[in-house]
Amino acid sequence: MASISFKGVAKSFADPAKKHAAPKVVVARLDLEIADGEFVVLVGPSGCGKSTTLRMIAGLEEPTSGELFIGNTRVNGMQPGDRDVAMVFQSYALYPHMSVFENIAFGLRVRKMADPEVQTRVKEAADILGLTELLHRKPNQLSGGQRQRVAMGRAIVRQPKAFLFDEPLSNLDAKLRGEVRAQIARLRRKLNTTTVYVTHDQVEAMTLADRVVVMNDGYVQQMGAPMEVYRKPANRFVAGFLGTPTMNFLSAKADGVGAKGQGFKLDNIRVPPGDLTVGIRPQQAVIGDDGQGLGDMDVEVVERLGAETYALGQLGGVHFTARVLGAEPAPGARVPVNVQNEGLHLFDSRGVRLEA
Amino acid sequence: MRRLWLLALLLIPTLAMAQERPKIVLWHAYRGSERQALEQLVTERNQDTKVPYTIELLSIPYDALVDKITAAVPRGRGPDIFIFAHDTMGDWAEAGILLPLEGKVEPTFLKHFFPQTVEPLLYRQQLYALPLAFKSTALVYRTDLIKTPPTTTDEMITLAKANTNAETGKYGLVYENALFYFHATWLFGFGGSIFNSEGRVDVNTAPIAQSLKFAARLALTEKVVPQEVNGSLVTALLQQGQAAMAITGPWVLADLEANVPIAVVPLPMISGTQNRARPFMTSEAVYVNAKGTRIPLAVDAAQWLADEHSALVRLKVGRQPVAYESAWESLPRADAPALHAFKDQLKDTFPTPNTPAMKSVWSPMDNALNLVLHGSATPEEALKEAQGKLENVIAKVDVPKEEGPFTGFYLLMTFLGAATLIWGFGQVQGARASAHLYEGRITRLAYLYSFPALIAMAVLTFVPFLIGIGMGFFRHTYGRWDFVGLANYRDLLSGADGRFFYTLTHTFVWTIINVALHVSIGLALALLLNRPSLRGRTIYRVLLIIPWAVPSYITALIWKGMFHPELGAVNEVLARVGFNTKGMSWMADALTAFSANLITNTWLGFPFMMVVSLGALQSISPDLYEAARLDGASKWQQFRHITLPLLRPALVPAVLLGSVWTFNQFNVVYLVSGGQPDGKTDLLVTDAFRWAFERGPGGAFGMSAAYSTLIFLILLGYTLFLNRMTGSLDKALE
Repeated sequence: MASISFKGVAKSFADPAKKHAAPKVVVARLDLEIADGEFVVLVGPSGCGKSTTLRMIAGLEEPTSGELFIGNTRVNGMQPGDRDVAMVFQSYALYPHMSVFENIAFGLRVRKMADPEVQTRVKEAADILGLTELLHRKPNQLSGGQRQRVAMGRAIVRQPKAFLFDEPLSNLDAKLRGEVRAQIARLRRKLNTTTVYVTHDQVEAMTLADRVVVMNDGYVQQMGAPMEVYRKPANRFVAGFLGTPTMNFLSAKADGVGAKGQGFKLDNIRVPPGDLTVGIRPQQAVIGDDGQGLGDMDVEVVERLGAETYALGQLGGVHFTARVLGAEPAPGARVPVNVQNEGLHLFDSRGVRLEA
Repeated sequence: MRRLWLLALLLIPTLAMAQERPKIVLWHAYRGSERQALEQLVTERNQDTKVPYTIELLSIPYDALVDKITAAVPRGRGPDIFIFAHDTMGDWAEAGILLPLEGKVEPTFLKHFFPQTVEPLLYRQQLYALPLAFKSTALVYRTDLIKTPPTTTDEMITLAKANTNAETGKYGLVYENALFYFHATWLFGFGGSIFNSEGRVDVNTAPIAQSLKFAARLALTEKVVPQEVNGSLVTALLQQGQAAMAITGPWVLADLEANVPIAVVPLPMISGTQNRARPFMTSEAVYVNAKGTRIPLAVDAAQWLADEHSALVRLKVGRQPVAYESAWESLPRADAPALHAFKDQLKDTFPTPNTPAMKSVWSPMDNALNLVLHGSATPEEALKEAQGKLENVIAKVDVPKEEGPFTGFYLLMTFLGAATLIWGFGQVQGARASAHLYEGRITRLAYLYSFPALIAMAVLTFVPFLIGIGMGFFRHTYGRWDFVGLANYRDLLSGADGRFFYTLTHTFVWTIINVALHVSIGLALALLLNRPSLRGRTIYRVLLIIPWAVPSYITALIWKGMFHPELGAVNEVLARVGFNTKGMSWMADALTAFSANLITNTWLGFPFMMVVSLGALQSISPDLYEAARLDGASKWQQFRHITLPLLRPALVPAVLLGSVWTFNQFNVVYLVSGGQPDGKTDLLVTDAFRWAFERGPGGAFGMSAAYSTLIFLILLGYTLFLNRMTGSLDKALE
């Protein structure tokens, strides 16, 4: 087990076909300290640099600049095999011609471990993951979930300094996803190994992480405990990324005392005058009269999720999602939407969070 | 009025048909001016309406003409008359192809020809053809390099040495010294003969050994003659002035350009003896097809072709050394000195023997020459071996002429083939009958669609295949087939001359080494090409495919040229790098000949393996390699545990195909080493080929078919074995 440090790390790729074009910057700058035993989730949209960051820890990519440490060792230029980290791939990357046992044992055999110890370790790992009955099977005789567990078995059997997960649940169906996610959580409690987990799914980020690192366009947007990042998003991007359904955004203008937007007026907004973006989570935007009015919404669609019901429509010229607490409005109806002050998130013209 | 028109219209075709004269078909192999002369004659003749027939010409390449006649005539096809050399006459006469001309031609007619040209046309005292021309070699030399031509061999050697310069590739004398046909000049000069007084072949004699010593002296001691010469090389060297003298025939006059200064004289006297060097003489004659349908007209046409008028045209226009003696009076010596020189040689020539036994003499004697010229054996050793082979083969030639009980063997094979097909259909019918009604309709439609393809396959593959197997149970002599049961197989497998098992082992070794090389080189290149960082990948891929794209026999011929001892690129490059290979003959030693074949075939074979490997490599997910790297596997471990096992499903069929193709790789072995030395680099296929076309009376087709069936059975066993092995592999991979 070890800590992982990124100090000023950047990564760009030069396109060999276009020799004179500027290289593509994938990770602009990364300063990140991951503590020993911490479970960090890198989350963000496709192309934000999270996978590349993970691969740099693994050694499958090298930083263009900056330094990377695993524990106290500087690992720039070190071979993946020497870093003592294990990775679980999105595509499982199981060796198709080997049995489950051999797949799990491969890393140990390559390091010339004695056979009795190999047997013990593999059986142990299989036990933890519930794979004991499947040890003799080949990967093509397993279901998706079983294959992913074998991939995890291959990782844990090596008892590495860190686990790296690269979108491991993306290839699974919704129900399986939940099951394997729970398995990962259980594993984490049992093994306590430093883990870096990459996903684009914010549910996984919220549920599994000790700390969430939100990335976009090669930069870290915000990092912190999941609930903290949820409640106090540092900028408009993070606010819109975490939380389902997505946060609503309305434009407004502040005058020092309040704010005025299209079709609504807000009191008690003490921020410097200027352009403003107001963010309201759908859970806080309620149809009714209780709270600050945001104006009237033309309902287009009503979504019933079972525990909650949302109305989607147009408000103030933009798409808006509001929560239905009372009677369901009919599509085409015009209903008033209100919000409590605590439910307001304010961002300045650059998208940075403002404290009311 | 209209009725007259109709009548006229009806009459014209009938009149035309009445006018149409019967056709006499004439096959020949002439090219160049000889062909021109013949065509001129025939056109002239056809315009003469008093002649009761027209002649239709068909020109066929020389090598194909023999086979065509041998194959076509016994079956009732073939020309009415044909022109060819006389040496295959014995075979043809025995096969009943030729019409004896006694009583069909006036005896006085024959007196017009040089007697030497008529003699060879007799077989067992019967005349079978009329002479048109005679061809033998003589001494051709460049007048700009040689002022006075030699009259003795000592003079010849002196002149040759003065004109030889190994550095610049100039030679004093060039001739196809590895061919018995050309060597015969010295053989007869030293007083040797091929047949002894009882008419049996006896080559293990002192005069022949002396002649071999002489040939070796020219090539190895005096070094005035190059090695590995073929006809085109002779012409080329003369043309370019790289050779001062050549022993070659009148055909070279047509091939050389007009401005080359050459002259021809008869061959010199052997120094120390009273004999002149006497080359083989071929009497080119016109034969009449004994099985033709218009024999009287054919004989007339043949006579016309040999007669004075035609001889004159052939001499003057065709530049042919004609057999009709008086025709030469119309051509002054000054107008055609070269032609006259060939005529002068005629009295010192030896007609190529036309007996069937002679046919089997060429190959062993060529072998003996090869051995002596490469210094691999003494003349006595080489001749002893040749004699041994000849006695073996010729023993099979003198078959007693009993009528076989079974001549309708084709009927038998067709019956067997049809029986198999009917049985096959019966099986299919049975299967259909038990199928469900609805399914039956579908399958019936399916059979209908596949029927044309099935018929084509049956005709093109199954039937010839069955006939081939059936042929193995018969022995073939001059178009007659005798049922001999398993005698052919017995002869082959009992190792009558030890050849089969040696060749079998050699073929296996050849296949294993080749395939191992193909796969390793192909795989290595595929691994190199698979790296995405490699620039210009597509260019390399295309370049590396080219060896496979070029037809294999062209490749083989090019490589053969490159392996030429003195003029080839391989020896040149090796010499520059420091190896002592100047003038080393690759085909002299079994190991180097094998290597030459191996190099050529590897060049041909690796692209296929490369392409298969590359395709299979690209289907391996890169994630697997990343996972392995993280697990700590080295490059070699990755190769062993990931690449190789995942390549196996693709490589196994490729190896299977590759080994079958290599096992049967006729082109390379036949064209590059030619089985040299001494059949030691022959594969099973080339040996089978030789049985059909180089041995036996009229071709030992039955033996060859049995041989081929054996090869098929060996490969079948190999395929089944490999399938079973990979079947269990497939299970292991699941």
